[in-house]
Amino acid sequence: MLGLGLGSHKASALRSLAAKLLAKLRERSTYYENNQGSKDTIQEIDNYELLDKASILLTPTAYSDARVHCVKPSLPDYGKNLIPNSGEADSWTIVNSSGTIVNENGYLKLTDTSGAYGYTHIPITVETGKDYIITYNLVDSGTSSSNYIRIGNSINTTNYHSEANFTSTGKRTIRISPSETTIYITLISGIGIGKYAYWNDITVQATADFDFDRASSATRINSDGLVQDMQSITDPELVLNGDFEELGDELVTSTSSTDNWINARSNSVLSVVGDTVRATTGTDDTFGISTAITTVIGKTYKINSFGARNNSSGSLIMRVSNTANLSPAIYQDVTTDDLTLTTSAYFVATATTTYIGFLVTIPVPTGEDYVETNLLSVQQVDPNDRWSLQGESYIDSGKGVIYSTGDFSALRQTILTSGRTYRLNFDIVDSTQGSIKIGYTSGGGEIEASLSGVGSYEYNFEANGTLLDIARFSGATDISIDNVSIKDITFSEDVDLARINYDSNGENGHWLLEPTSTNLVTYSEDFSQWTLGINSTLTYESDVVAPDGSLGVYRLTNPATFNTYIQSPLFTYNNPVTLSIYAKYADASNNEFDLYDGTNTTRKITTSEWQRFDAVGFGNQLTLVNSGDTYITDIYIWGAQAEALSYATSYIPTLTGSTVTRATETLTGSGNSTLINSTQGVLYAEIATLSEEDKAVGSQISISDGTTDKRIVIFSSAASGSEGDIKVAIVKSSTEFEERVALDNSSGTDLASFNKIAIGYMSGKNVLFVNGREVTEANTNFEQFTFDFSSALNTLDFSDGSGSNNFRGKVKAIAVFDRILKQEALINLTS
Amino acid sequence: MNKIGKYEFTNESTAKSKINALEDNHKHVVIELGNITITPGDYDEEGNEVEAPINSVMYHVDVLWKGLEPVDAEAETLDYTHPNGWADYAVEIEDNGVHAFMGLDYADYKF
Repeated sequence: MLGLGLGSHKASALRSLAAKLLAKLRERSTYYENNQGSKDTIQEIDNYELLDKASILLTPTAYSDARVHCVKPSLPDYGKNLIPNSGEADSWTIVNSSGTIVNENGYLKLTDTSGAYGYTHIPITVETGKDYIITYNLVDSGTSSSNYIRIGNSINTTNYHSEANFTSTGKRTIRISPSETTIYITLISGIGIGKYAYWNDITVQATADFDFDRASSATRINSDGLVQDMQSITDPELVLNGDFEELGDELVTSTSSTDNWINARSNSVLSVVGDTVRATTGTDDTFGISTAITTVIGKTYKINSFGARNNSSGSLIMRVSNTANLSPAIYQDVTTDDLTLTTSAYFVATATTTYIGFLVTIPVPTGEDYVETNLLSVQQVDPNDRWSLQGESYIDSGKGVIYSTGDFSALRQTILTSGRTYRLNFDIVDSTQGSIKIGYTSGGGEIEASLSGVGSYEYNFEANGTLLDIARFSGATDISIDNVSIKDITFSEDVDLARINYDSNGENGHWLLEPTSTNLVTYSEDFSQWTLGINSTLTYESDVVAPDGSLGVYRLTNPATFNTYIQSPLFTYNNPVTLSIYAKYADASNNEFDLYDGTNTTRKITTSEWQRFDAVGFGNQLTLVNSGDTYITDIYIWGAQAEALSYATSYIPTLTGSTVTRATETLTGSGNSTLINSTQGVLYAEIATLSEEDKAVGSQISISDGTTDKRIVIFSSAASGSEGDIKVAIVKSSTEFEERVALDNSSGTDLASFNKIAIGYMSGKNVLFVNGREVTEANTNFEQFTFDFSSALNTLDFSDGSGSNNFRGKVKAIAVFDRILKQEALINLTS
Repeated sequence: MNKIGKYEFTNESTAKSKINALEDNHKHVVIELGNITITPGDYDEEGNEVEAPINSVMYHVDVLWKGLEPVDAEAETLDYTHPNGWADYAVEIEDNGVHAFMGLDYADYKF
């Protein structure tokens, strides 16, 4: 090592398994969030060397419309291929003597011998109603003029997938949900005797993703701590390479040999010393070393790092040039000593081959002078052409530069859909000359014009074209931008979006599953529709930020006198009824109020921050009063709700005179027999109830045979005397089961906080661990309970196994292990 | 296909019997609205009732039906019918009425 910090770029950081799993998860989900929270959970499991052992793992991170995606199994690296021998030609059957299939160069070579395509197929045994991911790779279309893949319930049928006439090579992935237990993949190539193509990487893997259903919308607390309607969640980032930092492959070859390194001035000897390449001169006063990289004219390249050392007193120059002798330079950096790049440098290629290297000029050669390097890193900027550089615009130093000497110039991405509503964010980071405009069609549709001030900008707009242009406004321009973001904020039609809910500080992300509930209070945000006591005052303050981030809330002032209240429109009498409302004080010294349901009052004390206050009782109204008329109330209010439940659920806006219902959420359909072992295993859950008041009878999580007969279950007890206890059970029929209390509702255990429960099941050797401790009883019936599920367990559900008794609560993690774990592992897992 | 149906029954027991006959398979969300208020009451400035609200004599129920199959899946325009004999009790209104399902406009989801 030269002591120049050289080689640091080669120390490729090994990403953790957790990071790899999450990266895969991000690829296959529409919505992805809570990365750090999930990573922490996964990492914790991995720290105990249990991550590899989990066959299914769900954390609150990834979802799509009507789907919730599991961290494990993950495709394609970690799943179990159901056709492990698919790479062997012998595993395939030729249809009707139409061709031949052989292994050649590590691939499957399918040749047409009939003149009308060669057909080959492979059967796969699957479970009906389960989801599978199928991958296939047309490695080389060879001489085949077209190729087909067909996936169906018999040979050459297409009822699950059909792709025809594709000649472009590459790997493809599809998901199917078969309704038969045997399906077939058929490959077809040829059309002409002797014509062939190469195939490879045919895999079938089970997925454990859940089906999610709610059918109505719902709100959550998002990671900003704001109340958010799930139909308003923004779609994924649309701008690619918005930070202008995307880089291509490393272009400089290794310094471990002299291959690809050039004696820049034909008078030196090249050698390898350690991991450096060295050019040693004889008597010449200028010498050097260079290497060629393939470049694209007009593209920008980033020199990430370089390091070189010169053992003489001569000056040391790093140069980029179009010639091997590094002259003339299109970029250079000069020093008289050791040369190490401290900040990144950029150049624009002007030839298809560009040379980069080091020159030394010395006054008096000693015959032993040399220059050496072991560190040089160059990558293309924006290698995937995310940005279309219009006019003289360019990318440099991690910024997009709108540069113009007078003509149209812009940074462009074609990412918009006409009629959709978008939110654009970007920063102007340097402003040297002129100004820019934001446009969404070429030649028209300006969002904003004449921007030049350094700072952050945000615009919401409806697109009327497909182009996003950040362009020169007029005249000569030199303005740099960074951190460009576009998100589609059109109110979604998707209502089946599972909720990752957060605490009010935006932390502690978890899946939130709630029962059906109706907000009985109408006009939950428009208190001008409510009945106001004659001595109360209600004002609308348009500059106060509401709990959902919008501007404008009502301020209620109740003087310390009679007839001071605000009352919701009356609703049907309910017992119980839970009232809730967001409030914060307008005047710190008058921060109290009472919630009144028509029967009882409950005193609340507000702070300077929005809080949701609730009260459980019985009645037919939600009224805010200063009970006793002895104190003044001066508060902001928002988001009133009354529910016929013993606890408050997430806010349900009622913006008109109608009451509104949020429907029950269900999370079902995960697992299959390849992921769940019927003989032994572990069901692990980190869960919390919705409220201490929620007895949640009928709330279950199970691995089962798809019925309530054979299952391992975590459930909320309905038994008299133990209502609301969290229990576990192993059930082998409706009359043969054994259960044990995991969390005693009456013992002071906080069921509304997250608890970790693991059931290890193995006939006659069952165990239960909760929060790091084994739960044992004198009665060992649970431990000694015997069963024989005979490969029947194939379903992981947030229900009783049959789709009923859906779980309601909060979930941070669910895992299935297909082997029972040792005691120490179960303690670690649940600690 | 999800659909919203609005129904009225002559009394609560008839409604309950129809509701109880539905399977507990979460393919529907039933909201019993009861004898809904047709005309709101009138109250003085002190909140005292001047005129009582007028309630419907019918027992009202809203149902969000999930995953309904069309009558003819190959028809040019897909038609759906009220399941389980509920068509006899169906009513149609112009707006959401006194109750809605969050994010679903009745006009977009009615039969």
